[in-house]
Amino acid sequence: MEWLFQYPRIVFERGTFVFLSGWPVWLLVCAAVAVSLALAWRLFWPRNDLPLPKRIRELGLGARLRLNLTPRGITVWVLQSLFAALVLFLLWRPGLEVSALRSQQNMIAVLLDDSGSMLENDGGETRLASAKRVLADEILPGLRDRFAVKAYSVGGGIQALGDLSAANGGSSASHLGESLAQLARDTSNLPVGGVLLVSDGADNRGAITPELLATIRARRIPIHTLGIGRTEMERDVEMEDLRAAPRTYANAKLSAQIRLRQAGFSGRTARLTLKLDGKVVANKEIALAGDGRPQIEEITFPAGAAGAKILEASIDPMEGEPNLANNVRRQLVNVDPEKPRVLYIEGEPRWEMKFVRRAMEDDETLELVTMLRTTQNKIYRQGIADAKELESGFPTIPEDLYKYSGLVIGTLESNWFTPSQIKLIRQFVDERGGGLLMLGGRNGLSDGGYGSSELNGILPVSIGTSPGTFSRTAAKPILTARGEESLITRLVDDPAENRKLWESLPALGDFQRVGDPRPSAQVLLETDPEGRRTPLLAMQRFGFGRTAVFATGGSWRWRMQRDHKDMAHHNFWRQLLRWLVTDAPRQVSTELSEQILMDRGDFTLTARVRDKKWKPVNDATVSARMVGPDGASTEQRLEPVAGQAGEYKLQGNVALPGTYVAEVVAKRGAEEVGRDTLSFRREDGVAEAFGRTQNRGLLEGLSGRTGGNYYTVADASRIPEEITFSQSGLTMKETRDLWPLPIFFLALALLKGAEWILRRRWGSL
Amino acid sequence: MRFPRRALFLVVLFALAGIVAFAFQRGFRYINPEEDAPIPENPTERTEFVFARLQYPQINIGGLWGRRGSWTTDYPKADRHLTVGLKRLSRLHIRSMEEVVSLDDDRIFDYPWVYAVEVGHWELEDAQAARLREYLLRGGFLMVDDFHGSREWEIFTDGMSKVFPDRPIVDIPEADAINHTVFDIEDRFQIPGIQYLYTGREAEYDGYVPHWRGVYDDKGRVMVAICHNSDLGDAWEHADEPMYPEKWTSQAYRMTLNYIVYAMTH
Repeated sequence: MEWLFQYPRIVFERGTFVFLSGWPVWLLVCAAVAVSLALAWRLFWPRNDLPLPKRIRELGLGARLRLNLTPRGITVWVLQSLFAALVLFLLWRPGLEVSALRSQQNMIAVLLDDSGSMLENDGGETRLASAKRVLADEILPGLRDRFAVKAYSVGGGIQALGDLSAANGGSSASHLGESLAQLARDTSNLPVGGVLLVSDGADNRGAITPELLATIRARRIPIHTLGIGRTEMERDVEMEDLRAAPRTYANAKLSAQIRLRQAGFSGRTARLTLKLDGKVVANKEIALAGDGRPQIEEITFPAGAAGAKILEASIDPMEGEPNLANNVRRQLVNVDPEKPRVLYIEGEPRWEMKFVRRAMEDDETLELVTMLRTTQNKIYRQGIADAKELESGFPTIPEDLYKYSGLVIGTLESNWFTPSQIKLIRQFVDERGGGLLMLGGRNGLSDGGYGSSELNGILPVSIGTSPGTFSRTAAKPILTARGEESLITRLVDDPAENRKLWESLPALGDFQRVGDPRPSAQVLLETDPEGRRTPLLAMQRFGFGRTAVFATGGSWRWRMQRDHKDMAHHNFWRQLLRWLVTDAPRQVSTELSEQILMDRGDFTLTARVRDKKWKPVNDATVSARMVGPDGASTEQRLEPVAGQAGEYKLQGNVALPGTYVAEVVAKRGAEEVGRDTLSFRREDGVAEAFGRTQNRGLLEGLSGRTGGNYYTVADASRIPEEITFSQSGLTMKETRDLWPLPIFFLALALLKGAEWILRRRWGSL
Repeated sequence: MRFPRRALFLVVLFALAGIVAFAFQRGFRYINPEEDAPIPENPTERTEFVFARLQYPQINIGGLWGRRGSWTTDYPKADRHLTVGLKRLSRLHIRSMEEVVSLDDDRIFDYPWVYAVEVGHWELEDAQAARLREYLLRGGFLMVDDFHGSREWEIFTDGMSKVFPDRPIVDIPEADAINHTVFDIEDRFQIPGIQYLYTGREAEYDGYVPHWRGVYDDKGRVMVAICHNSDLGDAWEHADEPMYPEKWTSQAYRMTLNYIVYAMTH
């Protein structure tokens, strides 16, 4: 079909439509209308011997104008009008204006993947050999005619490749992200017209970050990708990814997400096992999805005591499975010894507080501090560290409130807080990254006046300003589809059992009607005591923190109405409050580029340092003391990042495989601002076992997001011509006439041909 | 037309049967109150806290108490006086009318606070003791009051040993949180009943020394608060009695509010 359009598709995709005649477009429209009217006049002018169609007669239109309107006549008129319009359109000289690279003035970077997976033999020759052959025969000669071509091999970074034969698949992994970042840096002063990445997309250990993509897009460099290697898997089960929270609190319940793909074992049952430091902590039987289809499995496990732990997910070997090395994935989980603190305030004695306190008493994950207004002027405090804590009432300054990671507000009027305290609570979520949970109650949410407070805007549901939304009516909780997936509402691991358990829970003692959820909110529970559903438990992220609304104060009935050994109420509250403080940052919070360094030693350690008011600290001395697997200790300095307030970075490298523990300490003079500990691991010789098929999705995504195209080996010969059309580098505007396109002549012939055939058939109009 | 006498008899008979059947329906309890107390305003309001009074079976005693049941002592005036006082003294959202609950059905689990009076006369059946045990283990709170001397103590402990065979009854130390939730009560003195006005004696039987005891759960929380040799119920009830000493009433109200807030926070 391409001959009909004469130019490659890319010209139409990138080009801008123009008329090259220079005549005004309105004239074209007028001419087309005039010709059409003239044709109508010729065809429909009254001739008494022709009968009028019934509908026209009924309207009386034809009678008044005395026109000879017939369906056949109208068809012919349409065909003739279209023909005339198309002729006029072509007379106006339609064309495409397209940006094309100037010949011999631009550079094309050709990146050849040199990772181990390119040595995979896909029937006759290796991927690397196939890539070299296609480059040498079909791509490079065409490119060199027009551009300066620079070839690189892609491994741990990029290396100039004088000769294609120098690439030998010697790199352990391709690290595409870093390679592209390096290319962008190295060629920042060069007119790069485009990048051609020849790869199987496998063994990629470097993340292609949004920042990198933004840099490439800003320079308008299209990355074209040529996918090498088979896209279908051999008989194999591969664990593609394992994800769990890298940092958590002691004894927290965590969820691990496992992505796997298989071929040849569709529908078979496999055992998925999760180990923490070598001990099995969870397992389940799974039915394997169809060949080549990604399959996501979720499995929950207890984090256990504090310490740096290796989380390992594995699939038991299947019968006759040749590659077993890719059945296992590992990740590190840092279980924090420090307990985050949650402040819970109630405006009057409520059973809810008693039972929430009981739920949290046995929880080793976090500490609950409570404030209860027993009388108009008395506050009863529990869980306080010393007599001074909260002695003066609810905190009024950031230093006092920001000690807590979470805040729960029960039935307490909004005007009990001063305006500055309300503002402080908002900042607590927005800036400090704390969690805010608001409960229903006769003085909670709308009935407490929060609808007109500054807090309304940060909650996951809208809160009205009218009172009367709280009702002491029994309300059954209804688990939503989101709720079925959430760890907060997962009271037992099995989803079906969990659903049943929720259905069997006693009704809440009360509920509060709230407004619609915000667009970014998740509703986990609903209730419909009056036949109209309303969110019961909703949550969302806001700023650096998170907010939730649990629109009741009557969940204590889940405790009093069920056997004393039943843990549903306690588990629910523990999971809800853990969620509230998960991710709440500390004064010094650290993160690593990757926790498992596969076949590499370089890493980036980032630390964010805040003072007690949670303002970024730019004048701190931040150092990391690292202890390696051999017990050797080194201390390295983190340097401030320009333009990022309170952020410090260390680009480091470790040589030995094994686990490393890093303690990061931030100081201001002699005073310590804070410290954080984290761990990571280097593993060698594992990357090549994964991703042995072509990762077409990655390559297509990369080219799609940078304005390039994805090619297969079969259509590689199009690359030299199509790569020309680029907005990067030194370009010029080219115009391409459209009138000679065969498609137009074919259309003209078809219109006339159709008219001729119809006239022949009908004999007369 | 003359109404047949036989038919009239049947109508009356059915009407009486209907009234009796209705009286046995759940939620309807005909109790002869100790003395009249007006129905308070808004008696059915749905509130956070309801003062629940425990109805229990008693040992075979004769006289007025044998007919009415010792659990009704001071009922309902004490309960209604107390609620008025608690409303004034605290932010407790409390119903103006008390609720009577028994150990014969699961309705007791709707009321995590329950008050039992004259427990020196109770006689719990095994099933009732089991329900009370389950109630307390789930988080319910029991306050017992107005029983005096060693004989009534023995009867009470007989019942408690059915509820918790292995859990000891111990003195609640002054420093325990239950004495400090709202008011810091450091001097716990005996609170005599109204009989003091007639006899001039503060103690009843051989109950000269007030005991503030409790049964604790495994986490060190008081589940049962025991007021032995004192009569807080009378102190609530006779708060408006000019001759009844104010200091006893004030102490009773303070202690009870402490106990309730403790029950709602621990």
